[in-house]
Amino acid sequence: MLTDEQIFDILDGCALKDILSQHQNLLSESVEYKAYFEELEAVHFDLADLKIEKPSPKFTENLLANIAYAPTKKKSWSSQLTCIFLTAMSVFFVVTLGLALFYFSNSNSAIEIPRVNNLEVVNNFSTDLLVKLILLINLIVLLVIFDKKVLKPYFMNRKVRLS
Amino acid sequence: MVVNDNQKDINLLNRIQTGDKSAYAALINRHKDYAFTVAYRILNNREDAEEVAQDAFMQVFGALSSFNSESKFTTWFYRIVFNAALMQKRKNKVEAVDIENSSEAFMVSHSSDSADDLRKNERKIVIQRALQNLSADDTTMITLFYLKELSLEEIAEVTNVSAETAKVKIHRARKRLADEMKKLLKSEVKSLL
Repeated sequence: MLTDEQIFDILDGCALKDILSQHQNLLSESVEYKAYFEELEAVHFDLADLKIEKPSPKFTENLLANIAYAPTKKKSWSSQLTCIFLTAMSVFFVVTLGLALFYFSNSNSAIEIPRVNNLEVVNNFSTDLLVKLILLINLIVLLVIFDKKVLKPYFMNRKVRLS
Repeated sequence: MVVNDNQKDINLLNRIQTGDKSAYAALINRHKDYAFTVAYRILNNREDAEEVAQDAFMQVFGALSSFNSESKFTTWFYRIVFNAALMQKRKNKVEAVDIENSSEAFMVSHSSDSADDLRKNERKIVIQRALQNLSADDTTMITLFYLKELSLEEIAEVTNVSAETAKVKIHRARKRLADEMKKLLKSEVKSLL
């Protein structure tokens, strides 16, 4: 005889091949097994045929009447920080590109551009207070984005798991 | 692109979080029947089951921020329904007689059906009575398994056991149901004699 678990596995369609062949043999050889299998099979099909129950027609309506709706969320300034940062960077890039194009398109013109020491220009640029300030702002913005996108979700997730 | 059921649920949850009122109704309509069925099979009382299903939805709407959008909504939701129904069951010590009443009405209203239909209907009534006689745990296992909405692993998650334990529990619950049905059918034959 097969165990109940093995019979239910056959009914659920997840029995192994050797169990299935044993089952076929038992069905043809044992009247007792056949009756027992048919009994469990009938229960299985009865359960599969059980209808889904329907709540009252006013279920949704009643429930909606009791819901305190979440207020419509407006995008806060901090949630738009990434967009603002990317937009500012794009504008900066486009302006730089525009100025470069303007400079090169006018390089053959009659206006003579005074020659400067490149090393000196780079040196001045890197030590400039404005550049330092921009770098500092960028760093702060990056830290805020890192906190919002990585740290906050991680700790929220951890809190949910612990609770 | 085919959006799967869970993705549809997640989209609705996102809309709810932005305050979209139509999303509430959409989510309720998607899951009310299954939630009610699970609660009803555990509680055997329509009013209680409806209340439990409504409470479960309210809990969902109140705790949306704690839902991890990477997990399956139905697993989380059925867990809420299952726990709410169990709590209600503990409150109600008195057994409901809903199905007995409805089955009598059913027998009267279907008196013109063929013998085969009657036998089938009779078995349905017996199976519902047998389900009533099982423990809440057994009924839940059987109900979740035959709703075919959740995988074995998800049923295990809902009922807070391992997948292997869930499988054994489902097998045992079905065996107990078969025994209970046999008992009920025997007593019915005796009463007819």
